[in-house]
Parts: sequence; C-alpha cells; structure tokens
Amino acid sequence: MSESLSSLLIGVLFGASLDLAGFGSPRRLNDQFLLRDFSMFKVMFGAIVLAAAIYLLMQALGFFPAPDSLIPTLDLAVLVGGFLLGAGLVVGGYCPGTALAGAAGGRLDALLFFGMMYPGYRLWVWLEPRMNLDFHAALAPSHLSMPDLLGTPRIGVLIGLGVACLLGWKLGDHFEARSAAKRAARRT
Amino acid sequence: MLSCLRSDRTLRPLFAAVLMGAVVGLSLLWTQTGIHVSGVFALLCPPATVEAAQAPNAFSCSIHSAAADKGWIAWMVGGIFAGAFLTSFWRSRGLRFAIERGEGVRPLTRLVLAAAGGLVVGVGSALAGGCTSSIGLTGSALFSVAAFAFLGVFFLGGFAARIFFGRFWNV
Repeated sequence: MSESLSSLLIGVLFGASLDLAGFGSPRRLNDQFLLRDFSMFKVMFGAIVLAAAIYLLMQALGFFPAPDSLIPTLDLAVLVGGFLLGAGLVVGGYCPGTALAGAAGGRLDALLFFGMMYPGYRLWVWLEPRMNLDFHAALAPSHLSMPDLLGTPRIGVLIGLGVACLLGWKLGDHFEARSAAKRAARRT
Repeated sequence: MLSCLRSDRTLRPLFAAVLMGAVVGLSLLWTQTGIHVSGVFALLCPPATVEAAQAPNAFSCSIHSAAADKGWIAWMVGGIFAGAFLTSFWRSRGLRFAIERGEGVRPLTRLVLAAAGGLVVGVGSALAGGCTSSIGLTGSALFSVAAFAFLGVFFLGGFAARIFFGRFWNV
C-alpha cells in the first residue's frame, strides 16, 4: 500500500478517535483546565500507555522499531513551544488536531483557529533568525528516552506509567465529583 | 452494564483512550511515522539550508525539516478531517454550523479569541517542531523525555492561561 494511502487511513482513524472522544468541542477540552472534566488527561495518558504497550509487545514479536528521529530532543524550543500550545488551547479552544476535528464537526471557530495557525507558523519562521537566542541547543542528549535516563528496562517504565495513569485517573474522578457537587449546590 | 457512549454519543474516557491508543500504536508499527498535524504547515515553509534539514528534530513537524519527502502529512491531515467528519455526522445526525463558546460570550469575542489562540498555537508548533499529536502522543508512547517535558509545560501553559481566559469557558 502506498505511503499516501496508509497515512490517509491512519488519519481517518485518528480523526474518528478525536471526535468520538469529544475533543472537537473546545468546551470539553477547556473543562480540563477548569478541573471539571478530566477527559483530556484520561484519554491522552491512557492512549499513551496503551500505545506504548502495543509498541513494546510488537517489538518483542520482531517488528521493526520506529526511527529514532521520532523521539524529539529536549531543548528550549520544545519547552517554550509546549507552553504556548497549552496557553493557546485555553485562549483559542483547540490544539492543531482538535481544531481539525472541531472544524469537521461544523465549528466555524475551529476553522478560523486552524487557519490562523499558518500566519503564526510563518511569524516564527520570520522571527527566529532575528532573535539572538538559540532555542535549539540541546538540554539533554539527542533522542533521550526515559529508560535511558532512569537506567530502567522499558517494561519497568511502562508499568510506572500505568500506575501513574491510574493514580491520575482516580484524582480526576475526585475533582470531577467535587465540581459536579459544587454546581449542583449552586443550582439549588 | 455500563454503556460505552455518553449522552452526546461520544465515548467514555476509557473506551476513547483504548481507541486512540490503538491508533497511535498502529501509526508507529504500520507507517512508522506516528501522528502529525502541524507539520502540514512545514510543507509550505521549505528549509533554508540542507544542514538545517539534518537538525535533531528534523523529522518532526519542524520548519527545519525537508519538505520534499513529507507529502504524506497532507494525506494524514486530510484523513483526520474526513474521519472526524464521518463520526461527527453520525453523532449529530447531520452537519450543523456553529460557533462553540462559553455562556454569555459573544460570537465576535469568541472568534477574536479563536484567531488569537490559533496564532499562538501556530508559533508554538513551529517553535517546538511539533504539536500535541506528534510530540505529546507519539513521542510519549516512545518514552521520549522531551515529550513528557512537553506535556508538562503544555498543561502548565494551559493552567497559566486559565487564570485570565478561563472565564470565557465558564458555563
């Protein structure tokens, strides 16, 4: 199968998963930051743990590993960029993937958000060479992974992540129940 | 028995996480690319030099990446739109155009904020060399230290912005 077709099919499945998770809705995404609905944390963290487990299992069965280049290098650009993405999500309601899902559901605000990402992208392309700061100086060895950093086998890191995910899930349940009780009390 | 769907026909978090995790895992094993969205803009921003295309984060959705061999990202982005359209159409029993906003927020205010947020996220994606899907989901599934740091500052940025902008989402 051609690279284009396989990418298209992966895209269709991912788009469906975003919409079915409710991530096309900026209100649901922002309920995370208002501590009312932890769906974003739960789904993202759960998906990461499951994808990592599938990947490890398939590696054990002899599948080719993904290229090292998929593992980003820690630098100032990743940290500042990540911060801006989080802030932009609260200001505008979306991140890039969820904006696509929102626009596909007929949300005009999502369409505008996604369209405005391009001027933002070009703004940084124009600005970066004019700034006297090297955002891409590595803060850690290239493509550093958690097992290398911790000196732990990958299965150990997976188990640790799974436990952290369960704890975060429970904490989310607690906040959701507290928020629901508060809102119910306000209504009565 | 617990239904896997909520009242708006979206999946409960556990089922949504299983579906999304399976798709991310599949993208690592089948296309070996992971999930990318903001990289589609890199196709429109060719690298300045060959050296820049060989930078450590070159494969990610980076302005430093070689545009020529990344046409598949456009197909992936088109697929994401199509997949979300199909399920949204099924969930809503049709397509309705709307401006989704918090209670009491005027449509124009919402559009201005959406535009400003898009601009900020565009800068952030170009700077980080990726987005929540490529660095956050794909990188973390590969246990990348940078990806977990990215997710940490992503949530930090969101909570920081919530201090002023959270009121626009109150319902």
